[in-house]
Amino acid sequence: MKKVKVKIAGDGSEENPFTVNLPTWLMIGDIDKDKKNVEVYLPDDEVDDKGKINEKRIREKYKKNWSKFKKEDVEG
Amino acid sequence: MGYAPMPIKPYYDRNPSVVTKFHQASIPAGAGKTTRWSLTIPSNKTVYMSIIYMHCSDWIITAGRYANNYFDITPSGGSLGTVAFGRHNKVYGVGQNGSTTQTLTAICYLLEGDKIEYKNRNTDTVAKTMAGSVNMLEFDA
Repeated sequence: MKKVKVKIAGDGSEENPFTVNLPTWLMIGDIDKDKKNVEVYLPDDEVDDKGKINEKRIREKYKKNWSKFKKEDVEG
Repeated sequence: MGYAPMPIKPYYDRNPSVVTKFHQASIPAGAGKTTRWSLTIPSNKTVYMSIIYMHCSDWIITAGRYANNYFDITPSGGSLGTVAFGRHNKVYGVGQNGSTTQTLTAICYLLEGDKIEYKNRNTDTVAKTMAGSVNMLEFDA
């Protein structure tokens, strides 16, 4: 797994919990509520050699709901 | 005369991968509901989910406040549903089956695009150590 800093979505409420808009990830530590980001572990194949999210790989690996995924929406 | 023989599936994946997700941390007092991990089943894979484990450091909690664990499954293109839920709340007198730790045998198949998430929240006045994990086998679909 590789470490990446990403944006947080949601507001922590029951209906709209804090989350990350990626298919598979594991949170490290806690959320930085000021910067609205958090560090997560991603599967090795979903991160490129420069440590950035591999948008193309995620689109082809998960298809269906992730075919229009854009890393700009998530990288924090 | 007789029935045609059953078609034999030409390929079985006899070498599935073990997939686990685990999160344990001190969840601060007043923490809102937060997704701690997410796992989406890749295209052309299927997953056999065998065990869900959840833990909260204690079940003594201020009246009217909560420390909850949630395991939610969202089917591909479907709506979210909670498959396992642990609640610690003195008012209702229940914990995760009355204990701090619970392991469920959760026999369930997930198909490509399905997502399972572990979430928790702690509205109590003290921090709690909370954990949630799942153990699965991932097969070629």
